[in-house]
Amino acid sequence: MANATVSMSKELYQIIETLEKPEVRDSLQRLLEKLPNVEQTIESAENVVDFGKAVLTDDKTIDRYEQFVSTYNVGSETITAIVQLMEKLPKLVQIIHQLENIIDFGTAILQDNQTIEYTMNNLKSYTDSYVEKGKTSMEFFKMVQQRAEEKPQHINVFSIIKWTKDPSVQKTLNYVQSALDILKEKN
Amino acid sequence: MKTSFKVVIVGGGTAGISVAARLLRQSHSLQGEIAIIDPAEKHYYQPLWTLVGGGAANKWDSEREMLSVIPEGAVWLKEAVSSFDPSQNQVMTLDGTTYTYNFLVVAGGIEINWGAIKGLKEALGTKSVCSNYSFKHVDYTWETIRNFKEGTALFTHPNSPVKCGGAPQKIMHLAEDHFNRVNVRDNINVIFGSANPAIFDVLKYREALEKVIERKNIGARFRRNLIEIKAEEKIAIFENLDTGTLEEIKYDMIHVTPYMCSPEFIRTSALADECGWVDVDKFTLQHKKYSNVFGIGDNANLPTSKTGAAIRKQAPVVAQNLIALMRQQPMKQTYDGYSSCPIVTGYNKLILAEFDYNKEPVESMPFNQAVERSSMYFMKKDLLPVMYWDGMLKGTM
Repeated sequence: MANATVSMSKELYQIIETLEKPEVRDSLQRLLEKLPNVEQTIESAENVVDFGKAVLTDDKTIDRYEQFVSTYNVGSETITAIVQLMEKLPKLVQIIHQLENIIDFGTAILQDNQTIEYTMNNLKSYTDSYVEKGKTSMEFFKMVQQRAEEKPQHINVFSIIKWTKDPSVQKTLNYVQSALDILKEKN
Repeated sequence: MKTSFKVVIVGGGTAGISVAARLLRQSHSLQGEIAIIDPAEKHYYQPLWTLVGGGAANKWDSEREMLSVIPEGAVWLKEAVSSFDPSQNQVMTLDGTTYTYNFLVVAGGIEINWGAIKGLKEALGTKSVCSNYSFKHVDYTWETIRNFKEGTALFTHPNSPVKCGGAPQKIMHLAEDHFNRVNVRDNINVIFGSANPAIFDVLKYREALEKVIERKNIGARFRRNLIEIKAEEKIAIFENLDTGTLEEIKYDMIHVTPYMCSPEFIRTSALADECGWVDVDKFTLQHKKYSNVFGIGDNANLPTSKTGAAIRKQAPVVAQNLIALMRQQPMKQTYDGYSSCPIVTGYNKLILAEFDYNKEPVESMPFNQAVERSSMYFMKKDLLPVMYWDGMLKGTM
């Protein structure tokens, strides 16, 4: 009994000694000042817990939400997918960032009249020579058509023999002859 | 008038505009808080000038109003910077205004010293003395080449860093190709007088270009530095950088690449190293002494070629590191010294050199870029300008 009293006095002494420390006294004072706030926070937490408890016991509400959720295809696969998606988010952000840059670049070009004009002029310089050739050919065919319709001629075997003397026909026939010669050599 | 900004960018060239656009894309809170200080009313896409001088492009396609390239949300201060006080976070302008900043990006470009070669300034644009490095006179290059029928065509590269180190030889290749096309090449002696020790720094492309020079029968003379032009007599005086002796070359047309240096307001400031360039860490691009200052582009003391392509890789590093610093996060972005030089070797041919700090090729295409290709010429002429105006300057490329 006497030992127990001595031990208690020692503990009490230690507590008093701790309480006498200025930093502990300051902390206690601040804690006391904050007590109203602490009380409010505890009350709010209590309300949340009470609300949770109430919801858990409200079968009607639980049934309603179960029914609502069951209309969606949400299952364990969805949860796994969410986790996987979160795992891939850093890479996805990079890809989206690049895509955003490409879209913005395309938009900038479309809104830039000077760039469009520059590109069109350059394209024109590449296509001009082909367009010119096409125009010349078209002109030639038109002239031929016009001449043929204006001056219909009777073509006989002698006319064809006469054609063969024309240098342009000779040149074409020369190609045909060369092609036949090569084919003959290969066979 | 607002005189205090979160970010002040000195220079509205390729680097300044690219960084501003990137910063604004990354943080909308910087709207109205980024100032770009530049007195120029026009912004130029200078890589096109090679083709203009070769008669393959229109110089007006390289010019746009400065206002049209200032990113939305940035404030353009149409003034010239006179000095810096980085210890007080201040930038002073010629008209006496002082601007303060939280972060500073120095993108002042490079200054052309037309007076460094005796006789050049007076003769430029006349008497068959031309240079693609002047927007005003770039048309005269084509006029000179077009009318040239016989004699010696001389092309030079100075003993100083230059913007786009390949440009001095690009115009030579275009001129040589033109002389061939109009059947006067046999009457013309083409000479390349360069202060460099070789035709190109990177071995892979050097070997390819040496073959081009040999095939085209171009007289390449290295370690020769042009110091004077006697325009009346058409004599160019070179200093032999190995022996110190002077050598004269009689020419009939000359294309000069002028001396270039760091802009005066930078080289005389506390931001400069002993050579006058902005003293930055070559990986993070942050100033070595002032942590809230970054240097980018031609005015930075980076040991790589000064090109627009280099800036394309530097701009995201500066923008992201600056934002990280602003958020008190560690800077993670680094620049590896990437630079690129599309070396035009004719009207439909190009070698696309890409390399890093180690002068090692860093090629983007899935084929050997040391081969002359028409596809790469098409890219330079038709695609790169579009990428520049609508990609780089908008902060997306």
